[in-house]
Amino acid sequence: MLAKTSMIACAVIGTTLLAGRAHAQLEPEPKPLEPATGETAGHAEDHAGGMERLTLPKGRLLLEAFLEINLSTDLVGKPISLSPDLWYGYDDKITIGLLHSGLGTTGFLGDPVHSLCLSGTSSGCNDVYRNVALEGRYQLQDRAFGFGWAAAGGLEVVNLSNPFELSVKLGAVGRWHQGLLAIEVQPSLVLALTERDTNNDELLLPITGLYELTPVISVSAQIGVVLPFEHTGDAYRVPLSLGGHYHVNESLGVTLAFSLPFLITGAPVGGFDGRSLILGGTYAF
Amino acid sequence: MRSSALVAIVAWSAAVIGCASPQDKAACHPVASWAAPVMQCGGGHAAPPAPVTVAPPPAPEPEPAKPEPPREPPPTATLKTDKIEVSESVQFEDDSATLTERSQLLLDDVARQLADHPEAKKVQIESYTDATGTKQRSLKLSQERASAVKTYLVGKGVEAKRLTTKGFGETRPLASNKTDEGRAKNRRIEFRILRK
Repeated sequence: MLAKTSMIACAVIGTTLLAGRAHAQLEPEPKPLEPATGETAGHAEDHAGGMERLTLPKGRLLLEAFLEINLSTDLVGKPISLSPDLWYGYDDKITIGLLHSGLGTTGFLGDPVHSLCLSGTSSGCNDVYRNVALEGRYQLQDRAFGFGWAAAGGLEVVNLSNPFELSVKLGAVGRWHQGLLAIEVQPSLVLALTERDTNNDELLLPITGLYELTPVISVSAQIGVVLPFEHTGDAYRVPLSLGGHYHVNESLGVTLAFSLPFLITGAPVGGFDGRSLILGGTYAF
Repeated sequence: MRSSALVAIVAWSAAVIGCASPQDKAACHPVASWAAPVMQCGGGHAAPPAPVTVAPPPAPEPEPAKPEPPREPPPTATLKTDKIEVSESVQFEDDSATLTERSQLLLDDVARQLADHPEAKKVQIESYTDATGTKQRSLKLSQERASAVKTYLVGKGVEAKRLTTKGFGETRPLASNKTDEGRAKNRRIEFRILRK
């Protein structure tokens, strides 16, 4: 099964890379020069002065890592996971990512059971290495009218073993930014390829609002809905996360967030009983 | 199976890190986002303000501070019906296609205009020189300069397919090539909107 899956993954990656190369041959991208180093006047103007993009420039690398700690009632620290996401700019349009975190794979912060699950089998981890996703993103539009968007999709191993669960994800990422406010949406459709009895199809719709308090500090709020296609009435959920970001420097940023992954749900548990704390770091190479 | 997956992923990560290039590092940086990767290229900054330092005690007889020269306002670009009008000429280092820092600021504003006006679907970057060199050299230099401008704008996030370049050499002068002032006028970059 793994060999077959690997072949599918390789085919998808290969096709993406070849498509990107063909694109690059049609329209050769000249090598950018060094940018200007001019001073800027207010931080609202700073953002107006630059182009935002939802992919990395060619050759750039972005590493994100999230320490997610379950704070749910009677389950504090069970589990704890440390999930790295690695993004690479294949060219100026295509970025590929090797993802482990909840934010990277679903767009939602908060569900603490992700690779690498560190707290052991007695504390909420079935395996250390439970899930991984390979995702590609294609920039469709830079920030025109303050809005940029990209197509996103990939393969996600929801569960590596017992049973092996594989899904395909198709979606989009959009970001609108005006002045100090930014809104991000990441609708996606996750379709189970294996173990369809347990591995459900889902529609994910996270929406995030970010407000820049100072040039280096922002606050965020995320809400959205997770809609499984089966038992929707019982299994749907509305997560809520609140957090803040601090830019340490132009390469490094840190995030602290508090999440209620089951704020509203059709299941009998939820509300404020399920809680998690997320400490994240972003480093751009 | 999990071990194999881990080994493969570590190998992939190492390969990717090995391939990472410092290109654009200064130009693009990550912004606060929960939809990473989101990068801002050009323009603003995300660095914290410089730390406040305590000034040393003043010298017994300090020299009066020299007044700072007035700072020039940044150059600007304005989108018109058929062209992008720039407040000053795009300047290069002598006899080269290397943009001056001030002209990079100007091109930042051109890039901003193009981002804000996607209806300007095709823009031709036209480069002209004065008549101090040979015709062949002037033509080549003008082509290189037009390409350098395109390269810079693409580096700022403008789609390459929106930009075409053309070097006209020393043809179509605006003024006499016999005076410094005239030659300066003739050395220029024009942004012509071909399609809206």
